[in-house]
Amino acid sequence: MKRFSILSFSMFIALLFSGCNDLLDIEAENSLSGNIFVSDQNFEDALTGAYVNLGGIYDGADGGELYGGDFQIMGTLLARTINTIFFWRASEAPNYQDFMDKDILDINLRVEANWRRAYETINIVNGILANLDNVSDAGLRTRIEGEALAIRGILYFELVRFWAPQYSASTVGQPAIPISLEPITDANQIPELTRATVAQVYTRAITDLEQAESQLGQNPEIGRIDQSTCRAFLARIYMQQNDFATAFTYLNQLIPGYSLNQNPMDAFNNSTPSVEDVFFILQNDVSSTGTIGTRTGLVAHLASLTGVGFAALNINYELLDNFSTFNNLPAFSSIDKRFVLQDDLDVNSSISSINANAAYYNDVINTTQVSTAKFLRTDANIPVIRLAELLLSRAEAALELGGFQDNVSGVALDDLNAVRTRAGLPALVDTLTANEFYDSLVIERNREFIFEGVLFHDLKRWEANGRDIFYIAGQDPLDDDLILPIPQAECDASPGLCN
Amino acid sequence: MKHYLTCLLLLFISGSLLAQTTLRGTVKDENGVGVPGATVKVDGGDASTVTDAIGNFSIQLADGYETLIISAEGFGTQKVYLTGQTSLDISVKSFSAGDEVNFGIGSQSKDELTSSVASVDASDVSPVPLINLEQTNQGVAAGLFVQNSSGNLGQPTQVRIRGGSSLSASNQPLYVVDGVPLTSQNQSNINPSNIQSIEILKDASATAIYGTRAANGVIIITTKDGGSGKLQVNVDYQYGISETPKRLDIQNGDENLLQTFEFILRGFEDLANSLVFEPVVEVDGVVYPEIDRDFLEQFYNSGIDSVSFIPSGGIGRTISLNIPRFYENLRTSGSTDWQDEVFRRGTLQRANIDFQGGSEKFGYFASAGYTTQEGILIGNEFDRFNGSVSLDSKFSDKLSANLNLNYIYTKDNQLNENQDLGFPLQAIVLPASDTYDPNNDFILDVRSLEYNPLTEVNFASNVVTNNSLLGSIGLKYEINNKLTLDVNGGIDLSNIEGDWFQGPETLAGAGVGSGRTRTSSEEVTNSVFNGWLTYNEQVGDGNSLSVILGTSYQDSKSSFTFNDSFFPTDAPIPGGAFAFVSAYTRVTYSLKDQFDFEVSGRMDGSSKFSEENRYGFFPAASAGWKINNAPFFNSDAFNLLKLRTSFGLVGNTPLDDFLYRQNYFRSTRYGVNASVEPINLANEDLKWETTSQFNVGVDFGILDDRVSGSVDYYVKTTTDLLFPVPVPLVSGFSTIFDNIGEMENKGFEVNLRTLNVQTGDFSWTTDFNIASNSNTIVSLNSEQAIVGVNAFLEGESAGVFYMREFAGVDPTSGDALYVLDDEGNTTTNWNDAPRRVVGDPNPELFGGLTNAIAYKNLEFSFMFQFVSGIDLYFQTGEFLSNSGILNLGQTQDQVNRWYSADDVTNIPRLDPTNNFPLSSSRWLSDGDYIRLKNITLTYNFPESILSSLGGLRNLSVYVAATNLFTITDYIGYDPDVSYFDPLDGLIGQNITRGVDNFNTPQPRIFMSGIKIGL
Repeated sequence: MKRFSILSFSMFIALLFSGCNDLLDIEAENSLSGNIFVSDQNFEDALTGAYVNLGGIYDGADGGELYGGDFQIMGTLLARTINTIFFWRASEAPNYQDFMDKDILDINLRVEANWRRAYETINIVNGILANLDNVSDAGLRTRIEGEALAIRGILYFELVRFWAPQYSASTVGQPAIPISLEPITDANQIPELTRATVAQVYTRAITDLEQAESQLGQNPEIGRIDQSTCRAFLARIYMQQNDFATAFTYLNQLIPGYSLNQNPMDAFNNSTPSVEDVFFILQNDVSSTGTIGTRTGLVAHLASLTGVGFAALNINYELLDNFSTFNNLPAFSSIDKRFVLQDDLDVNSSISSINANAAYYNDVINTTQVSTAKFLRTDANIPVIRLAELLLSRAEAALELGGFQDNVSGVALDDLNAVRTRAGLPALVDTLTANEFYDSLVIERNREFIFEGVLFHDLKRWEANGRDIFYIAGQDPLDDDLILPIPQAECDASPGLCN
Repeated sequence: MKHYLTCLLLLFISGSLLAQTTLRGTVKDENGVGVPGATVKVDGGDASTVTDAIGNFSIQLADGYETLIISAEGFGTQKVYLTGQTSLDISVKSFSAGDEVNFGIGSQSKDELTSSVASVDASDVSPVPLINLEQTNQGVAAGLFVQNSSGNLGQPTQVRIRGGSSLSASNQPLYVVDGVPLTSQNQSNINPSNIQSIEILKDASATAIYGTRAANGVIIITTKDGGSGKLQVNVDYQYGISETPKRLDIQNGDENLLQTFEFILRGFEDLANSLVFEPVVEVDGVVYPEIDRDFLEQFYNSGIDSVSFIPSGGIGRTISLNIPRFYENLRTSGSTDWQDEVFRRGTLQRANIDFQGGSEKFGYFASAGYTTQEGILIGNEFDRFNGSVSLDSKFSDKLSANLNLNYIYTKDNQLNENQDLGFPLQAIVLPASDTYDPNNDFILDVRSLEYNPLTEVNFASNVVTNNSLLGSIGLKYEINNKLTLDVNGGIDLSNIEGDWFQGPETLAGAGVGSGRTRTSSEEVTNSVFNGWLTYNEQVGDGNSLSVILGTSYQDSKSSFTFNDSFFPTDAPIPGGAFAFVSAYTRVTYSLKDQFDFEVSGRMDGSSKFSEENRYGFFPAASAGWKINNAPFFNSDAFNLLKLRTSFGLVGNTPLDDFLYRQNYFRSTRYGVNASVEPINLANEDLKWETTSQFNVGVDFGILDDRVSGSVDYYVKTTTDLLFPVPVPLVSGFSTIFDNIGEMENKGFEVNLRTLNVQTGDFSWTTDFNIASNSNTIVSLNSEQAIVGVNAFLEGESAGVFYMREFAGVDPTSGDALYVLDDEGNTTTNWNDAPRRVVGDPNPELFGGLTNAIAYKNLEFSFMFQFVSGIDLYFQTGEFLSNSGILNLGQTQDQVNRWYSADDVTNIPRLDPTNNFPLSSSRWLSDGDYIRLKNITLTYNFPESILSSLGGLRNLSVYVAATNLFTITDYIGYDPDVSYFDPLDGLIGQNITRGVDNFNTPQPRIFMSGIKIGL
């Protein structure tokens, strides 16, 4: 009997396990696994996945990272003073309060989410870049490589300017963030992490974007990175490094290709590209960074309309026209088209009730406050770089390079005036001193890009360039408190990284 | 020898001739139906008879004080101690539930069992007035801890056998229905009337044959199958009403208004303080130096709505405050008891009909049941239809087949998630001083910004329908008288569709004219094939050998769709898929009716792991020694004394599929382009969680089972715990599942059954069970996981309460104090106080006590269920008992909060500026309870009435009550509670234990019913 049982058991085992590996090789619906870089379409799809990430994706509380809202919101809150003109309602979105308080904990969930999303996206493009040999179409390979490199370059630039000291002669050698260039698909592939220096990260970003710039042509699909996008980011990078000459060259190449919208507000809430869009994040009703339903993204946080947003940011309209070096307010004048208030809305109003030219509308939730009209539609593209930025950057570069003492004129004056007159402000005349012109330029950037997260990085580079220090809530913009901390989860998982 | 026997026989015959009496009676089954063909025999004598077609018998007795042994095919053997009576009605219990243990794969006589198995008798399942089978098991079996997540209908129930064995994988037992291991959650929806038996396999020896998914025990449900006689029809109907078992003591309108006044004044006081005003207040000409309780009451009762804050030293401007500026009509709006608005008396109806019959060759069973139940909260309704067919056929002496089909349809009008403002019970925090207008979308008259859940109840719906089919088909072929082949195939199909709507009047549907819709579906297709050979052999003198050798294959696929009108997406959702292939064997050997040995093993292959780690082997061994049969044992008291022990391994797999490789999902589009994105980092080293379990137990029966029971001790150790381990975020992920750590469960289980009285007309039995379990996370690689107030911490029980420890109130400032360190220092700064282990949501002891008393045609039973050594967190209190810091409705006790310096109280001050409820042990409560779970009184109509009613087989009526009363110190509604947020995922649901977050209590149900047998 014993023999029988052993024999049968062996037979069963043999029968079973000869064929059963096939039985266990099953697949779930709608999923892909393993090395997916085997078809051209999969490369395209993975690259699209990187774009989706770039726009922040909504998965629970971790939605709206990167250009999907956090780069704008973090930049905006970090550059503003607590509780006076701008008030963040922590009850609605508590994780952003740290940015307003300038007391950013390394356990802050937004800090962690953006850090992780950036590296996740970098990891996706690293996967694409490592497997490029498998792309069968040579033309496709060149384009995919270009876009992948550009995404990586852009993200390393954003990472280094948020998470590391401002680029300057004294900081280039300081540790910044880890650089990862190889794909990680398996827990065993995670390398020992070390922080590259500020200079190394900038070099990485520039190298990637320059190669991308050389490989990519113009006019690709809507919302994708092309040669102009690369140049615009390179210009941004060189401006951030206060390398005005290089920036000026890229800006000169770029600016003729675009024109300003008639009204400053025309640059927003568009579902098709506007004439001044250089790079934007595509949004539509089936693919967006989130709604009030998901409580993620720019629109949900900044809008107050019923069913649109929960107005986490309260703005005191009366005080927006103030200016002092201590609060960095935009000092809007009453004739500024970027200061037009519509105050006849209530809880029953919808997006269509908002006038096309309104820059602000009365906050229907916190009725003594106002909301910005820049971000109203979740199906509208999110501008990342607009012509107005190129113009004001070229004006600044021209000023810095021009050696003006007074009578600032030429490209600097023309570019600044293009933005001013579009906003309904009188053109400046060529009698301003360099310092007066600079003050005007600074305040123009503040007004033009309000809520777009640009000013925070400007304040840092201006100070590093030896210009006036615009304190944020009494704090020096170059204070370590204004550098995002590496998330505690990262420090815990990689001992030694954060020392 | 032969001669001696003949002598003995003669002696008995002559003895019985001396004084004979005749006993007449009826043998009935547990439904009161006469059992034909039952053998009635005098114990130790030769008198014996067989019951007739309706179960009647008559037997000659010597003196009427003998012991009768009654046995019948399909029923257990029963002894009756006669006390001189001349008539006897005796009921016998179904065989399979009592004496034979069904392992799903093969069965074993209970007598020879060497492992720890609990059986729930079919008659214990019905007529208990519960819809959910899992709830029926509450308190019934030792070591089975059943905790309800909510009193809402259609909600899941947590079942833990000997404590949870996993942190991140499932802790629910494996349910096997008619041989089909379920993937769907339909165990709750099986018609309780159809259940023949439930076996709860607890130790490794019993479960090893289920291999990889048996770490949490196995619950085997067998549904009724075909009969062998003429058609029998059973009809039963129940009607019941349910209500909340408790109401909380909540402040009335006046008290709530007083709080509102204080809320406004304190807010102003803080502002006045910040403006360097001395808070000297003047009302009606009287100056009060501070806002204390006296002042508040004076002010409130004065009817004046204006108060002045006077600057200190009389310098500066007096600030006056006019309450109506904040709320118009505050004093005149009325009063509402919000518990009255949301609780209701729900009705429950259940009707069932079944048909059973057949011949020697062919048996059939069919049933149809319908249940409709209203929840105790408005808007909650549950309907269920069950239909089942079971056929069995004996094609020849060697070949037989059976078929079981169970169809389930449920329609659940679900409520929102507990923490959603639209959940009806959230209404208890609405101000009692307010009213609402049904014609104005139920908006509150005064505090119009507070959200009234009645708005949602009236303008929203959430209907979940479930269409499921459970089926199995089996063939049994007796190759020869020793060898049998069983082949089984089964399916478990379920399709769950959700249809959610929020009208434009609601919070979630606001802003869009037509409201918001969300539809979802989940389809599970689970199929299983199972085949095994059974070999039985008598070896030598009184020894027997049994060998089972089998193989099985299971394949399960699930797919999902989801659509929300607010954020439409066309990205397909990844489905799930897993498969298991297995080979198993079990060898049992009985030696001289004294020793039983068993060795079993299962080899499992799972699609959830990489090829290197795909296969796992799970062996077990056990042994039993019937000491009462040992030659040296000569105690008359023990009719059974058995020692058994077992040791074995079982496994557990992660919930997610394919974690060993990198998986991608088709993400949202970017513009018009489709995209894919990775979901996880691969971990090729991932393998099973392994749970080893040692069990030692004693079964005993004293005085012919007048007292019987068992005692078990077990130690269960889970190693290679699946746990999300942090990885560098640079990888794009924050965690990866890995096998780390170790957890231990150990405890005692005691079952005791006593036959207190057994005379002709009267019987009284008591069943008692109690179990202890102690759970420890032995190691976790220094990792921890914290979700809300619960945590997985090394060296602690899984899910311990880990939060700030509340240390009363600072009498000077009225602020809450929190423990700072072990030296007794406290702080008023919540952030500075460290989190501490303050309680344990895992019970130390739990069990039940059932008494069943029968007198003539009356049966009376009641069951107590108890849980002890458990803490609960009354999270509702963060809002409902928070000193009024959000000016919400409050429990009565909050009136005694701190008002002014030197008030001695445990309730902090009303600080309107500190309006974020901070969790702390302030709301931790003792969760022990004893509950009268069931009480049932049944009347079985006697034969005389049945025959006058046209020959009914049986007719009984009953009244019953569930959750009649509960003895507990728990401060919330119901200590049988465990809320978890479905969005937290499995690990969050495993961590979150013993949390009461606006949970609906288990209803108190009164019901009556009738059962008719035709």
